[in-house]
Amino acid sequence: MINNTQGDTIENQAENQMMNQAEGRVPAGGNNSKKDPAEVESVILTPEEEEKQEEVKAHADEIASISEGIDLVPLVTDVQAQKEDKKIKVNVSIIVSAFILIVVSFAIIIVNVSFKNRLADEKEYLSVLTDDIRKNYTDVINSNNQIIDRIDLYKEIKSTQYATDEVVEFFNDCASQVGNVSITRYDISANSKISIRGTAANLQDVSKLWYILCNNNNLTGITLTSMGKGVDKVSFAFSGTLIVDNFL
Amino acid sequence: MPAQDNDLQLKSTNDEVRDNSGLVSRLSSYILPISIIALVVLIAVLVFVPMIKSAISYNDEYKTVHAKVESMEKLQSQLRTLDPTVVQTDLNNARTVIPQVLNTTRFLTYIIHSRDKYSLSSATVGGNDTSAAQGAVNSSISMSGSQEHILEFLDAFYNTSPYILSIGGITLSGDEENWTVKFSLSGYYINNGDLRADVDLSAPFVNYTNYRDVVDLFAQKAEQIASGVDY
Repeated sequence: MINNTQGDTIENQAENQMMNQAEGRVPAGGNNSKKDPAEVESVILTPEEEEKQEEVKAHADEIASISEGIDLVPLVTDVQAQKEDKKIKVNVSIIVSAFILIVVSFAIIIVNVSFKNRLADEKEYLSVLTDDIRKNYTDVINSNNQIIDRIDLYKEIKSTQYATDEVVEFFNDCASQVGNVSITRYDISANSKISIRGTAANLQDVSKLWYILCNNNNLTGITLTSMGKGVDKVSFAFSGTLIVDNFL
Repeated sequence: MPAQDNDLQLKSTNDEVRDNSGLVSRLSSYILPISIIALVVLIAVLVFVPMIKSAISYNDEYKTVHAKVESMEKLQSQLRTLDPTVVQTDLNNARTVIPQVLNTTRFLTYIIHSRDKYSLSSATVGGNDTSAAQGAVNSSISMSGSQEHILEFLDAFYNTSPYILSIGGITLSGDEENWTVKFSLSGYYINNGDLRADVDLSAPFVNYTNYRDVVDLFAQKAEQIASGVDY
């Protein structure tokens, strides 16, 4: 039995009483529970004692409510609740970011590997193709290239060659248009420069020939390089450039 | 009063502890996110960026290789259209007209034959060989005869010669009866080498059948040379 000591608070007293009740030492109604009802009814309390008894009863009720369980966790305030929400959101975003990171990692790895494999396959195919061509078509390629070389040489030569007989016939035609003109020398160089020498009956024939040669689509840059008057004939020399395309 | 002092001291200590633990808890609550972000950035810089760069380089290289594959396939399809027998025949004809070696004797023999054919007399016929892979045998020629025969002789070189010849530096002089022509004549050869030599597959391929007219001309001239017509 726990004895009250001086100086105990009302809470301590009530607590002690509760503990005693729990241990069964003191009946629920207090120490007076086994007393004879007649003896109880006979106790008359003064107002001060009644007031004191009510206070004790109130405290006992309070302690009785506490006796259901002492909540050691304090209530969460609004600020704390907001902080907790914020933490939850941050953690969720981190989880989502980590998931995205994993997905992106897989995607990059897969793309890298697929590109690498695609390149390797293409290189292998190129190697097979090249080997096949070298093995089966080397002769054909070389023969083709040798023929092409000769074709190119032929075309190059033909582009610069002209029919000499047609050139001479052309000048002879020009001379015959004038009449009494005789061309005695043709000098045709490799770069299509031409000079002619001849004789005419008179200066008028020379000028006619000059006019015909200047107004002709087969020649350019005709100049009279020399002229000499003899006893019965006039000698002349003209130079110019052949338009080779007209004589190919 | 000592009890009240103890209570106050205890209260202030409790406040300090409460403040410190709040700061620590705040810091601890942000350590994990910060470290994860730092890890992500590190992974992105050290791993992702090089992998993306390598993927881009693989892709670029693939495009280059794929272009080569396409050109090889195109070359293969062109080569499949060529009959090796026909190609060999055309090559033989081309080599007959523009031989691998054109020696002076053979060349001058043709000139002298033509001279005789057109009743010309030659004052000078000479030539020299060259040993380059592609070159010309040059000959200085001086012939005399009528203007008509000389022009026919020159026309034969231009139109009916079985060889590919070029004439340069012609001087034709004379009077009505007797003319003299001086000119330089060049015959050509190409020494290509061995048909089994390695080929450069990257070089552009030109199919010779695109020039069928020239190939047919070579065949015609080769037949002339072989049969001895005009020769």
